[in-house]
Amino acid sequence: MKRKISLIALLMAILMVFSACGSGGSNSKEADSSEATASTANAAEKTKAETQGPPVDLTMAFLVTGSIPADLQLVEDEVNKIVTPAINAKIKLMPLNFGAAMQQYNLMLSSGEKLDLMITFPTTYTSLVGQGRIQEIGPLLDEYGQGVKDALGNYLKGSMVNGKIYGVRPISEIGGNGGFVVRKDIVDKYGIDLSGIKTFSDIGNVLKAIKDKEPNAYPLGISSQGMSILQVEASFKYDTLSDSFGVLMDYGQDLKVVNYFESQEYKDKLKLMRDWYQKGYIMQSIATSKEDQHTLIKTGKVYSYISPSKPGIATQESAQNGYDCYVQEYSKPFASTFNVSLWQWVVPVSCKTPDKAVQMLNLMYTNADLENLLAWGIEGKHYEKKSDGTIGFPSGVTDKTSGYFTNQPWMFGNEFLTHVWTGNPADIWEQTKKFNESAVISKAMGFAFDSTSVKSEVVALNNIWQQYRMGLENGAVDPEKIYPQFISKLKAAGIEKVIAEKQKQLDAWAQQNNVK
Amino acid sequence: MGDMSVIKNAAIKANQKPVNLKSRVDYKRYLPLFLLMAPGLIYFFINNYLPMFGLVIAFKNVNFQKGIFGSDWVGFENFKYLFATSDAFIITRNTILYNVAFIIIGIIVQVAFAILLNEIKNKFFLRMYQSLIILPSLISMVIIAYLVYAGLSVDTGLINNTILPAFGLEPVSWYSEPKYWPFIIPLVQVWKTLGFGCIIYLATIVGISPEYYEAARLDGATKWQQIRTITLPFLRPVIIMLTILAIGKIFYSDFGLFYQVPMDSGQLYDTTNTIDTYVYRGLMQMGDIGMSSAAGFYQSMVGFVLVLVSNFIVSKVDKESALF
Amino acid sequence: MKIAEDRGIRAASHIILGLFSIACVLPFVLLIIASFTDELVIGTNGYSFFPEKFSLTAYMYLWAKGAEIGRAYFISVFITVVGTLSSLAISAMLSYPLSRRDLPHRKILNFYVVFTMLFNGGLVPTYLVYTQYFHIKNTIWALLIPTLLLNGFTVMLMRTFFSTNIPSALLESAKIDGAGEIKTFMMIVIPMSLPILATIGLLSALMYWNDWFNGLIYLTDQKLYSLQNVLNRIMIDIQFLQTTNTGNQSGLSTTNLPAETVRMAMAAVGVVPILCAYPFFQKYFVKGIALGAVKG
Repeated sequence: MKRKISLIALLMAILMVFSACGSGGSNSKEADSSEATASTANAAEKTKAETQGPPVDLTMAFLVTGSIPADLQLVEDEVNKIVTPAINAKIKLMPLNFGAAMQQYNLMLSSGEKLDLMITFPTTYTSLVGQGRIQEIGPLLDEYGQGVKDALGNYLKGSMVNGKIYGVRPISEIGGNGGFVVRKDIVDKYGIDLSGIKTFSDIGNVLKAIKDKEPNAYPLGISSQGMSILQVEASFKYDTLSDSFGVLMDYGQDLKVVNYFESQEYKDKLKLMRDWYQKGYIMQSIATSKEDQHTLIKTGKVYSYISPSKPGIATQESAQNGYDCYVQEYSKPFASTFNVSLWQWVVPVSCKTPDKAVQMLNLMYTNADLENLLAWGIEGKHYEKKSDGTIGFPSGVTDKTSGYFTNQPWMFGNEFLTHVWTGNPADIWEQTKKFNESAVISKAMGFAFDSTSVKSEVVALNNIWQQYRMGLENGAVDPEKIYPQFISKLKAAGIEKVIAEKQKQLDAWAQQNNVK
Repeated sequence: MGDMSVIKNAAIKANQKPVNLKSRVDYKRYLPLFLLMAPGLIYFFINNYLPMFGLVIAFKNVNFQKGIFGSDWVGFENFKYLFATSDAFIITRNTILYNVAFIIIGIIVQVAFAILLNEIKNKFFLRMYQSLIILPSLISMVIIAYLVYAGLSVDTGLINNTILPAFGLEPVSWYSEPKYWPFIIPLVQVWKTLGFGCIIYLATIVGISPEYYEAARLDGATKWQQIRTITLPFLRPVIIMLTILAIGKIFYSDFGLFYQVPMDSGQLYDTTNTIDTYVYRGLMQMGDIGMSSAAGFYQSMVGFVLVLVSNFIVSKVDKESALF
Repeated sequence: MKIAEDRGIRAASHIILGLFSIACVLPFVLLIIASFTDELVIGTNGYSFFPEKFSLTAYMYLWAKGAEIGRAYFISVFITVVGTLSSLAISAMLSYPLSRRDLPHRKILNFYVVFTMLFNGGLVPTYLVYTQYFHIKNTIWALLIPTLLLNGFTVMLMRTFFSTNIPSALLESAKIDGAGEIKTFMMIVIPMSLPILATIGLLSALMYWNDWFNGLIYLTDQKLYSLQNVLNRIMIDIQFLQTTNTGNQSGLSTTNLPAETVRMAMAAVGVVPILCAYPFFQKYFVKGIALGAVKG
C-alpha cells in the first residue's frame, strides 16, 4: 500500500514539474508582450529611426472559403514589394478556412504562437477582449494609424470596449436595411407593384397578390438558415445589444433597455407571421427546413425572402439565386455596435511588434495597390481591367482555375480603394459611401455589453430562444398557445436580471461618454 | 451437459494463478514486461496526463494575458449554469436515459448478432453480412443526418410520401413532434453501432477453442445450451468491461446524433436536448473556455465516480472481470 | 433432430442478418444514387432511389480538384498504414503485460489506463503540450500521434481478450520450455490473438482514415491535408456559411461551394477505400486458429 502511495506521489510530482514549466513558459511570454506594449512608443520611435535594420516578420491571418489560393506565394511576394520599403516589415500571409478558423484562432491565441494581425470571426470580438487575447491598439492608432482613423471616421467608436480600442473594422457597407428579395419573372408576369412596400407589414400585400395568382405556391421562404424571419427583421430596427436579451427599440434612439420579446411590437408581429403562415404565404416547413434561402429560390420552392440590403444587393442575390431578382428596400440603413463590430482587424497579445502591425493596418486602409493585391491578386494574371472601369478575369481564366480569387474585397481594409468586379455598377463604392452616410446610428454605438456577471442566465436564455424562435417567429406554431410558455420560460431563466445588468452598464457608459 | 460446465470451470481455473504475495517483487524477472509496456505508458503520460493541468481552467476566469495559472480563481462559478436553469432537469434526464437505453439495447442486440454471425458457415454469406452491417459505422453522423432526413422530411421524405400513404395513414411532421424521437434516436444509434459492436464480440467468440464446442456436442448439448454454457461465459468479461466503460461516459452524448440528426429543430428539444447540445447552444456565442471546461469536468467527475462504484461492485462479485 | 435444430437456427440467422444487411445497405445505396442525382432535382423532390435526372456534376467537381485530392489520398493511405501498424504494436505490447495476473502493480497500472478514458485536460492544454514541447504543428506527426496512436479502450479490449482467450497454462508451459517473456509474447500470444488484432486494427484504421480533427487543429499548411481534411474543409465551410450571421457581406456566398450532391460524392469517395481494405481484416476472423493450432 505504501508503495502505491509513493508511486502516485511520484507521478504527481512529475506532473507538477511539467505543468509548472508550461505555465512558466507562457507567463514569461506574456510578460514579454506586455512589456512590448508598454515600451511600444519607445520602440516605435527607434524603428522609425533605423529603417535600415532587418525587416520585421509579420504573420497576417485572414479568411477564405475553399482551398488555399494556389498563387498565394506570388501574391505574398508582390505584397512585400510594397510593404517592406514602406514600413520595413515582411508579411507572411496565413489564409484560414472559415469553417476551421474559429478553432484555429482559439488555439493559436491560447498558445501564444506567432500571429501579428488577424481578422476576427463574427461576434467574437468582445469575448476576445474579455479573455485578454488581443492588445489595445488605440494609442498606436493615434501615432501610426491616421489613415485608418480618417477612413473609419465615426465608426471607429464601434470597436470600443470599455472606452478602449482593440481593433478596427474593415471598411465596406456598415449596417444594413430591410430588403424584400423577390423573383423578377414572377413580379413582371403578374404585374405586381413593389413600390407599395414601405414597411415590413406591407410585404403581406405582395405575398397575397402572388398567392392569389398561384394558389399552390408558398411565396415567402426563410431568410437565413437557422434564423427566423423576425430575427432578421429585428436586426434592421433594434439595437440588439449583442444578444437580443434586452434591446433598444426604435433604431436605438432611446437608451432604455427593453425586453423585446414582451413588447407590443413583437406580439403584433408574431400574430402577423401566424396570419401569413396560415394563409399559405410562408413556406409550411419553414421551422424545420435545412435549406438556405438561395437553394429554396433555385429549386422554385419559394419566390422571395427578407434580406439585409445594400448597394449592389440585387446583383449579388441574383447571382446566388440563379434567378434575376428585384430587391425592394423598406427601411433606413441602421448601424449599431453589433453590426459594426462584426468583423475586426485585431492584434493578438502574442505580437511583439504591435507598432509594425498597426503600420501595416494603416497601409491596408490607404494604399490602393496593396489593397487590390490582397483583394484581387496580380493584375494581368488574376484579373484585368475592362473598358467600363471594372475588372474581371483575363480570358481563359475562370473562378475555378484562377490562382487567386477570394472574392472578398471588403475584408482587407478599405473596400473603397479596390477595383469594382465586373457585373457591379462602376460607381458602387460611391453609392456605398452615401449608404453609410445615410445610416441611422444607434445611440449606444460603442457600447459593448460584458455578460460575465450573468453568464449562466445568458446560456439558459440562448437555449430557450433557440428552442422557440424557429416555430414562433416564422408563424409555424400558434402564438396563442406557445407564446406564454416562451415568455414564462424566459422569465424563469432570468431575462430581467440580464436586462437590469445591461441597463446598469449602459447607464454608466452613457454617463462616461456623455450620451443622452 | 454436466461435463460441459466441468470443462469450462477447468478452463477458468487454469486461467487463475495465485497472485504473487511475496513482499519483495522480483522486478528483474518482470523487466521484459515493463519494457513492453513502456511506450504505451509514456504515450499516455504525454497525451493524457500532461494536459490534465488544464482541469484547473474549470475553476478559473481565464484571461490569457495573465496565463492559465495566473488567472483568477472563481470557485464553482463556471459550473452554476449547468444546474441553475429550468432545463437542467431535462438535459440530465435525457442524457442519462438515452445512455442507459443505448447500453442495454446495445449489449443485447450486438451479442445476439455476434452469435448469429458465428452460426453462419457459408463463407460467402458470412463475408457478405460482415461487410454490409459494418457500412453504417463508416458513414459520418452528418451524412447520416441527411439520410434520416431523406426518410423523414415533411414534404419530400420517403416515409410520408410512400410508406404512410400505402397504409392509408396521414403524413407526420417528424421534426416537430418530440414524442417520436425517443424511438428514432436509439434506432439510429443501434443501426450505426451494431456492425462494429458485434465484431468486437465476434472476435472473442471465434477465439474460443473449438474443443469446448466439440466436447459439448459429443455430450448432446443443444445449441442454446452451448451458447449459455460456453459462449456467454467467455463473453462475460468483455460485456462487463464495455458496460463499465460505457457507464463512465453516461453524462456524455454523441453530438452528431443529438444535434445533426434532429436537424437542431427547436420543437424537439424536450426529447433531444442533452448536456452536450445544451452547452454547445449556450456557449456558441460567448465561447467561454472556463464554462465549457466546467461542463467537461462535471461530466468526467460523474463518470469517474460511477466507474469506481461499478468496478467495486464487479470486483466483489467477479474478481476476474474488474477493470482494475 | 439435432440437425433439424441446427438448420432451423441457421435459417433464422440468415433471415435476421439478411434483413438487417438490407437495412444497412439501402441507405448507402441511396447515398450513392444521391451523389449522381441532379442538384436541382434533389432540392425539389428530395432524395430518391429513382431520381428524375442523373448528373455527374458532383464527381466532375471532385475531378477538377484531382491533384489536391490525389495527394490527400496518398497522405491518408500513408497515415492509415503507418498509424495502424504502430498503434497495434504499442497497444498489444501494453495490453499483454496488463493481462498477466502476476504482474506487479497490476491494479495501479490498469487504473492508470482507465483513468485516461475518464478525464482529459481539454483541447487547449493538449494543443499547448504538443505544439510547445513537441513542435508537431504542420508536420506529418500531427496526423499520426495526437489522440489516435493509443487509447484506453483498445488496451482494455485487448487485455480482456488476452486474459479470457489465452490460458495461462500455456504460458506456463512455454516458460518451462525455456522461452523468455518476449519470445512467448511474439510466438504464442500474438499468433493466438489474430481475431482481436484484426478487430483493433480495423478500429484503428477507421479512426486514422476518418480523422479530420488533428488536421483541423494542427495543420495550417494544406499541403499535408489528408483526404478527410480536404473533404471536411468543404463541409465546414458550407456549414459555417449557412448557420452564421455574417451580415450582408458579399463573397461569402455558397455559389462557389459545392452543395449536397458533392457532400454525398465525398462521403462515397471516402468510404470506398475502407470497403476495399475490409476483406484483408476479415481474413483473420477464421475459426479454430486459436488454441488447437498452437498446441498441435
